[in-house]
Amino acid sequence: MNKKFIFCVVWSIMNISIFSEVKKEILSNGITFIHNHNPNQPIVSVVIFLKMGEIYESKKCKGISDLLQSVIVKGTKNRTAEQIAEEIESLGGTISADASEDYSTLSVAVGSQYFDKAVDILSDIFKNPTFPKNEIEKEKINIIASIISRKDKIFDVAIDELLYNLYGKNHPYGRKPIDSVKTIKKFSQKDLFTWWQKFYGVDKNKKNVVIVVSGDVNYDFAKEIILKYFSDIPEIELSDIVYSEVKPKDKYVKKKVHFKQGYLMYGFISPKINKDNLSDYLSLKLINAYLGGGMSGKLFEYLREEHSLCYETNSFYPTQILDSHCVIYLGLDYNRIDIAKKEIEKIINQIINGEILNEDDLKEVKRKIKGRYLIDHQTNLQQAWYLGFWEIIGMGYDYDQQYIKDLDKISISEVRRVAKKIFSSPKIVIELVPKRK
Amino acid sequence: MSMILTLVFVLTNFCITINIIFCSDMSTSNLFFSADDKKYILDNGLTVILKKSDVLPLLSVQVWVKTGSIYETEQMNGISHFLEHLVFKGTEKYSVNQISKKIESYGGIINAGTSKEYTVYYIDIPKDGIEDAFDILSQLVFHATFIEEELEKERFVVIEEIKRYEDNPGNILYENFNEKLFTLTPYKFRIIGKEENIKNLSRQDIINYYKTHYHPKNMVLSICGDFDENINDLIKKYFDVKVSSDYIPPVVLLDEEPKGSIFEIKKHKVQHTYFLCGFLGPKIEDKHQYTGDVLSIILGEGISSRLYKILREEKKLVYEIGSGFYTQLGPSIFYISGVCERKNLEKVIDEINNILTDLRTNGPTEKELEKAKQIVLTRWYFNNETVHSKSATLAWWFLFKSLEELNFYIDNINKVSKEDIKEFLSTYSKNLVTFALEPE
Repeated sequence: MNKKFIFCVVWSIMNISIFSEVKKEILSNGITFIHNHNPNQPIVSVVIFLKMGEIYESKKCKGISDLLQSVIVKGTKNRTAEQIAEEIESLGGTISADASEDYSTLSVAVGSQYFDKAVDILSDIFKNPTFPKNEIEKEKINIIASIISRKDKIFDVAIDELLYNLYGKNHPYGRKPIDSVKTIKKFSQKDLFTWWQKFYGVDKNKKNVVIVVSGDVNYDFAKEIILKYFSDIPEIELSDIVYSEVKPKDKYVKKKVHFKQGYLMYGFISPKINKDNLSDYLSLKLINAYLGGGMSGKLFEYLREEHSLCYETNSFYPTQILDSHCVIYLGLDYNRIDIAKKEIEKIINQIINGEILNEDDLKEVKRKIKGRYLIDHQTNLQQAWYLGFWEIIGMGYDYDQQYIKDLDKISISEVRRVAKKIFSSPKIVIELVPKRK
Repeated sequence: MSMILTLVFVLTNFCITINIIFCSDMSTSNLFFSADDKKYILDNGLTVILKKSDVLPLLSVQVWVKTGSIYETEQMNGISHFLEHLVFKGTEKYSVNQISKKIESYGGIINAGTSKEYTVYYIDIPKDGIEDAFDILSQLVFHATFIEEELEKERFVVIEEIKRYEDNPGNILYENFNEKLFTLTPYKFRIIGKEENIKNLSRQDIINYYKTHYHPKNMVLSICGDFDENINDLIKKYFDVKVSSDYIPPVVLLDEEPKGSIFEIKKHKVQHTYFLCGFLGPKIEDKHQYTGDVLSIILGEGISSRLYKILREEKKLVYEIGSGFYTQLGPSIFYISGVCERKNLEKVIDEINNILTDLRTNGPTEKELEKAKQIVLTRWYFNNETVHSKSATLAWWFLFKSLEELNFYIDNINKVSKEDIKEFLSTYSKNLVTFALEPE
């Protein structure tokens, strides 16, 4: 049964059409196929989104999705690692495989005349990986080296500590990357094959494979090529997400580090993306854009412009499938950390009490997000990524536009309610203290 | 863990980077700077470049000033970057908070960056914000006020930025490598400057530097995006400001002394050994600029490149490896960067020398050469999808080469031969300068 949706977007709020024509179709084998025709440059990006990532990994499996993605491009039944690299790069193209917490991607970007060849290689990687033992060992070393190198970056040290304390060691978002070194060392070729079989197939009910084609290739040809190479992928029964309840308590963590700067980071458990609870999610997105988001963000204005406390300050609130987090941070001269704490807490209290972020500020933040949306959707790859991202996390590809419309509906009272709810909840504060103070 | 040489550019804000690539159009039949595009000079001497792109209702407006750390003295090192911060702290029309707020309320991005050779101010914004974007940019580059109180406050911010900069081992590595390559010319200076200088620079130093270098004749206004017919009137209104003095281009020493082989290691708080090795290449006017671009791809860009294949995949000596070629008015930099275990470092450098010797003697294979050219072509399209990158490409080529040559970039890349690669390496790569940071 082919379900076909056609979606032509005219963004009513700003009367702007980002995508000329986007179509989605559930192919007969259960793959979700999304096509975005963008003939502005003779190039095409193909991104496969898969439901595979840290949220499916038990504690014993931590890091396996990452390792699998690193090795999957290193050999198939038909091509060696070198052949894959040679074939793609001789087309001038690039290929990449990544794993994140909630999903994984496999993508290729080439000139549009090489679309057929590129999808051929991509499908070979998807369907016929060999996970050569020598490549597994090599990639293990590289991944471990990369995890250890996180100690060289102050932001990485702070965020790893924050998430660990916020979620706890049993939660997929809370496990420290350094703790996966032990598990990664143990994974065998057999483990990778088993993991691959669990995730590299289609579960028709869970719509776990999304293929997005964005660029100078028309719909019929794109579909024909995707069917040609992906019609025979196996059916699977997708594993459940590993869930662990999050119950943070107020905690203050002080840690000595070898950097010149000091660092201060606040974290709060925040709403996951969920169709039933959009108001909380959207309100916090607006609060986050008000606090961080450029030089006119409140943090930048107060902490850098007014008090000259730091060079870098920001906030972020990632869209995630499980309970997310809202983080506020700055790097600073440690001698001034008490002023910084006082100022951050003042900003938080002022938001909770409605003393800042008024009706006019909210209008401005909404306008800001709309403009930024345009800037963030200029390239083929960005467009492909956003369409696939919303689809894989369960909101549907068309939420890419609906998101802006929904943000527009959020009222100041909803924003204040959510600010109170999130910022009054238990928080984790990380303070990094330079050893050579 | 990637070790990319992005340190040639320091930004005012921390979240956005510009990649200026030495790259251009695919063929003369599809010109990057075409007959539909415009270039003209205002009465005050400011060059304006306009490129229409109405894919989305967006614009990128950029002012590039031909000043940076190579125009500084030892005592003033850091002034270009400090000044770039200070113009955001207040102008004749706008206070510190109004500047970014005005642009970001449209969802626009405002930022600036300083390099060794240029300073750029840019605004990417939805079309309806065009007049405010012009107004703000004009205020920044022509009407900054440098209020004493704001200047004092900003010293703390820049000093904090310096600390942050020095906390990154990649930056320490690059600065040491750079000091080995450049000993005579001002290319040896750090863009970000020294804490001591930032403490000592006076308001008058800043004003003098601004008056000398922020002259319309020393700038280009580059605009790409969706604009209307009235754009020229708006440009005249905001950018054709009167200037009292004429512009006298500064003289900068560009000739560097040749270097012997250097191999130096420093202990640092790092988990692995990070290294940079390379050599000085031709100046910007040399035809071998194109050779350098092709060679950097053959050697170290992509997973089928020689360095990646041999050092990472076959010999397993490195975790990461890559190469790049950075064009400058003075000697260019050809570099190879990587991460490895300390015990492997000497072997890695030996292997790099072997690979360079082989290429110097035998040249690349035809397949390698063709692949590199194909990569340049495809990358050209992917790198020029946004109004921002198009505007930046035009500005860079205007300031440092010419828009006419920009249109022949791919043709010139396609002309690079095996013999050119051999000649390039024979001329420049005999002595390798290496600097590494090893774990304490």
